[in-house]
Amino acid sequence: MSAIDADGVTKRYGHFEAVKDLSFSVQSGEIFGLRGPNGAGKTSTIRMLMDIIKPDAGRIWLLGESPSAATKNRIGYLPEERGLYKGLRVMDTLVYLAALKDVPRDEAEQRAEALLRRVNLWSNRQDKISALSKGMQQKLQFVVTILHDPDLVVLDEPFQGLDPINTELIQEMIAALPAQGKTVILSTHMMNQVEQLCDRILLMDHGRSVLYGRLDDIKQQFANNAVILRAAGDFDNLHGVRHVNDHGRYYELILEDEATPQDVLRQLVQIGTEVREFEVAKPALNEIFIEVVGNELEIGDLSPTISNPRSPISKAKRA
Amino acid sequence: MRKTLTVARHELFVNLRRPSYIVMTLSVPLLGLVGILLSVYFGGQIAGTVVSQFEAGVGRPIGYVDRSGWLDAVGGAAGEDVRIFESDQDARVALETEEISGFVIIPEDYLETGEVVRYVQGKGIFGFDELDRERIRGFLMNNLLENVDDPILQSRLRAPMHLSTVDVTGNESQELNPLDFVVPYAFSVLLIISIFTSSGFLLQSVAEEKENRVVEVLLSSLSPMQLMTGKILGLGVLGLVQIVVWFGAVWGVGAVAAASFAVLAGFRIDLSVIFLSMVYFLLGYLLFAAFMAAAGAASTTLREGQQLASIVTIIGAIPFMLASLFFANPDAGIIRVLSYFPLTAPIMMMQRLAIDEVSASEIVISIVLLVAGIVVGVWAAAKIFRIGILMYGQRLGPRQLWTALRQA
Repeated sequence: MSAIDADGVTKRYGHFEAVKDLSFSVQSGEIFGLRGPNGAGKTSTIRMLMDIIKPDAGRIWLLGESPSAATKNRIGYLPEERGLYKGLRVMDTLVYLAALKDVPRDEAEQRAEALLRRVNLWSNRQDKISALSKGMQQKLQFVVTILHDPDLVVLDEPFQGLDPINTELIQEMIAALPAQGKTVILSTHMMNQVEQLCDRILLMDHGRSVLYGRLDDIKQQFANNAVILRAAGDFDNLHGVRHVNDHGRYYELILEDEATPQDVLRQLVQIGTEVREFEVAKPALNEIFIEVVGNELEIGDLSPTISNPRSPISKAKRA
Repeated sequence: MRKTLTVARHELFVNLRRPSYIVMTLSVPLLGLVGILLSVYFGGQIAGTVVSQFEAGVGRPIGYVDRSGWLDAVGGAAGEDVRIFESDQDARVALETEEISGFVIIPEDYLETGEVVRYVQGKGIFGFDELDRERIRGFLMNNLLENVDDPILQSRLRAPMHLSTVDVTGNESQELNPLDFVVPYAFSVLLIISIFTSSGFLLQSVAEEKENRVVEVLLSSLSPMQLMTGKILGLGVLGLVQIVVWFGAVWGVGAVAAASFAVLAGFRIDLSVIFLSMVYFLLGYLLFAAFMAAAGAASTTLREGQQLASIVTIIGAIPFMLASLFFANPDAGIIRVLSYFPLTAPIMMMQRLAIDEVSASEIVISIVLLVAGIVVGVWAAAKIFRIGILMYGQRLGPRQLWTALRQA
């Protein structure tokens, strides 16, 4: 069953088309990645899902119905830029924002206690938000998002301002959501988080869908026929190997079109090579992103992701 | 509706705790109370001083030196209050030794000119001079009347008239007590302050939520219209709370003042004026609140919002700028027009109601136009709010405002 179905959705601001004929679906219980450079139309798409703005054309089905006031209570939204009342206390903020999702005060306080303990903010419940660090505020924003037990959770840059330990904590909490029957839309520049968490992704650019589908399929689609090898020896004469790139600490073996990694591995074993590491070379999502969006991407849009130096795409770009 | 009320409750309780609101709400009754206490305390002291000086003055006679010889001629004689001196020097010595409170030189041409000169020691104080003047006048009057035989004429000369004024409609006109308009006028000013305070908080609330991006989270839970309505309702109640406190204070301080000052004892505020003032308060608040919400949504920062809102508040405050004209002629044409124009009607009409008799037809016209203004204002504000609230980093310019208004 789909949690979201978007069909031919278009949104215009005057003469500018922010979203153009966008179609995609998100399955219930999956973590779905939404990516795109700044200005790609992600925010407009999310706002249409939230029923904050209406599409000019096309239709959206959200949790089986059109977005409406009723569906708003079933959605949790973490915006890209933190949105909290600096002068309010933590618990007051949680109770108020939960009340706007029709959660009674007692219930909100109980859930807030459990979640604040989980993210180590229980001792700060009476603090004013202005007294919290950026990382603490980000964790609080995440608590606000899931406090009312939503069916659909939309997270726009949920790891912003978090240190590695808290990034892992929030990542664990996100990863646990599908098991609770929740659907998650994750929009982040941190590609390794997308790769670790998402089943499927939608990459948008200039308001259009430019990549959409299972993450593994997309990676396969962009993979060169190559393997990464850490071993000692001479590999130029291996059958099916077209070219060998020596990167010092490892070799990159570019294969003939008809050759497979299994053929190469079998030969290495037969000639008695001591293989320390053998890996089918797949491009990192970040590199696919750069390749697809590539030339139209501004410097400011480049995400601070960990690139894979072994990727053929990386090398092709550097060359 | 439940979410709207949740926003309203939130706005009310958050702003009730604002120091600026607490200070402003409590300062009015506190200032009134302090004023009354100071008046009672220092007023009593000043009155005591004046009375003691009166008594000291009354206890001493006043002297005169007659150079005209006229007083002797008509047989005028000095009483207990008046002493005759032969020369200026004798009178001066008597004054310096405090036998008399002062002396008067009656010149040769007194009957022709009426000119007399009084000599005193130091400066007189308010009231004491008046008392002395009355004694001299009475003394001279008694001497002059000795030449008039007719007792009726004598009586008329002493009290030429007992004036009463009659309204052309046939009702006996009552003398206007300054408090009859000062208190309602002051109260109307308080209501106006409350309108600007509450709608100012609304602007602040919208601008802050936009600035710190909370609005994005809020709009994932409710519609822009629900948000705006909730804010207007909550801050309207905030204004009412302020007014209730001020009402209570005026009532309480008024009771204390009435017990302390006889002049206040009979003073009553007309309940119909209070009722109409409250109507204008609510309508005025709704109109200004709508504009403030739009200004907050159309701006990127609070400061920008305040600049934008100042266009409306300056127009709204025009009645204050025309205060001198208003007091000189409350029925002037421009005053009437301003009491019909929606942006100035709340303030102008509240002031007119305070000091002038306004016809029912004028009130109806004014309220109908004000309600029409509110309908248009809220409609426009809702459109601008919906478009502007999610636009970060850029202010809505005139063209964008126009586009927002034309959008369905």
